[in-house]
Amino acid sequence: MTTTSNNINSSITIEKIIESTQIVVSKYINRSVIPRREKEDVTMAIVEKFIHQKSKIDRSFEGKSKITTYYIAILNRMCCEVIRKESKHWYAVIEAEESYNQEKSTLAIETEKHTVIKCEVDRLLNTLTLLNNEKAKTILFLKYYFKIPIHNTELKEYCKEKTSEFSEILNQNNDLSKAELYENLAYLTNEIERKNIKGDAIRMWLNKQIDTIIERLNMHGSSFYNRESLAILIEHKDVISSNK
Amino acid sequence: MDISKHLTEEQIAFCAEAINSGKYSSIANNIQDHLIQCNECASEVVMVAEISSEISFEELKKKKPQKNYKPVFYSIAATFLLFGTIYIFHRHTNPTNNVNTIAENKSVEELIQPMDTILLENQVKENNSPENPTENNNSNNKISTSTNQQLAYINHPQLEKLAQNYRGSYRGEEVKVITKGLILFNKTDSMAWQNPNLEPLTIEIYNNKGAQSYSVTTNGNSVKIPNLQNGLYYWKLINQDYDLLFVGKIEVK
Repeated sequence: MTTTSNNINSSITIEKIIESTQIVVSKYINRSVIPRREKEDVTMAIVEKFIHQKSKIDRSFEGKSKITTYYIAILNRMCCEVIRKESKHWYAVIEAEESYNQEKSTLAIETEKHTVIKCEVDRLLNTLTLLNNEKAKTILFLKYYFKIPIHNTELKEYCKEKTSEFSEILNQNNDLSKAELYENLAYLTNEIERKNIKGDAIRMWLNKQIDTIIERLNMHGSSFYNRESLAILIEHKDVISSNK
Repeated sequence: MDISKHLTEEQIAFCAEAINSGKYSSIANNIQDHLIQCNECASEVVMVAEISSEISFEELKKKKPQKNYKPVFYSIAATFLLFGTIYIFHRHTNPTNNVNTIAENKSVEELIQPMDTILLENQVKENNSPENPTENNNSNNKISTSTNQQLAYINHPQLEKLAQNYRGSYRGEEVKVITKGLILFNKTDSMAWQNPNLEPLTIEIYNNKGAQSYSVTTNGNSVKIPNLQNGLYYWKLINQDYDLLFVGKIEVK
């Protein structure tokens, strides 16, 4: 452990910690969680706290991940802590500069639109990855529910050898009611997973999955997704993938 | 790991790296189970994955473009080629290096004589042949006598280098050598030094072929130079720890 700590001390400079903190804070500023005017103060508060606890932080490091990623995880946690404590004070005066921010953010989004969307799609994909075994099923069911065209690869990931059997059913969902959609998905689940569930169970499961994804994407006020914007993001996922 | 507890920062970092490298499915099941249930840790992992991938990208951009090593490689190759050419040219023109061709015409006894002698003989030949062509016409006896005389004064390369290194300096902390680097011996000279602690010192004398001619150990401050044949000699002053304190030259005429 001593050797690891020594390596840490020699390889990570204070400048690099400040730089990493700025990137972490910028993430929350770009999502309007932290007001732009607070950037310097929040960055310095985090850096100060980090330096104060550095020896303890280094001692806790077991070398299971890269030290830079470990520091980012700590800086991110510290940043979330600052947001929790200070957000009330920030929101008290945030309205005054709202018009300025709106003007600026619109401009910024226009110029960096593609980057921002790609970034959000990456977040969505990472969030879906954490659903583990249910990732493929969730993507497929969400697309069917939001009536977004389903790719054969997505179908194959869940249906495996029964892909061709369900391909036609799943791509004809435009005129169906919500109840019919859930019933079809229940039929699919029963066939693939050899279960005996009804449409209502699928409705509850899918609602839970949607809420989980939205909650994770919106955590710490980092964004303000709802069902509609989540559907748009899922559509963009295909656009980004096809551009790659 | 207790599944109800939140992940540590390092576990968050580990999961974020696994996501970025596309190896999330390979991490421990209990961590995966926790991330399915815990929105807070999941969002942290997603955020750290996003930031760390961004930082890695920034670092890549900051890295200097790779240097083009081709010109360096070519110049090194050219240098080697140049030295190689010089070496080959030198081997063909310098008779001192033609040991193999000389050896072909010599007996076994001659072949096993020290390399120093061969080198010395060749040096003498070199000295004689190009600059003094008239001397080459003298009788064989005359040549051998003068050759022997000259041989005795030709430097021994290694000892000469040592003597040069020790010229005006000595390595001992206590012992200070008084004698000059080169003694022009007139049968009464001594090798002298200051030895305040009277430590045992060994004095060795070598001829110009590197063979030891004399050795003595003393606690004193000097040793008288013994009777030596005409020629160039080297003397070494060595302390009890076998440290070489000084190397000097003696020229006996």
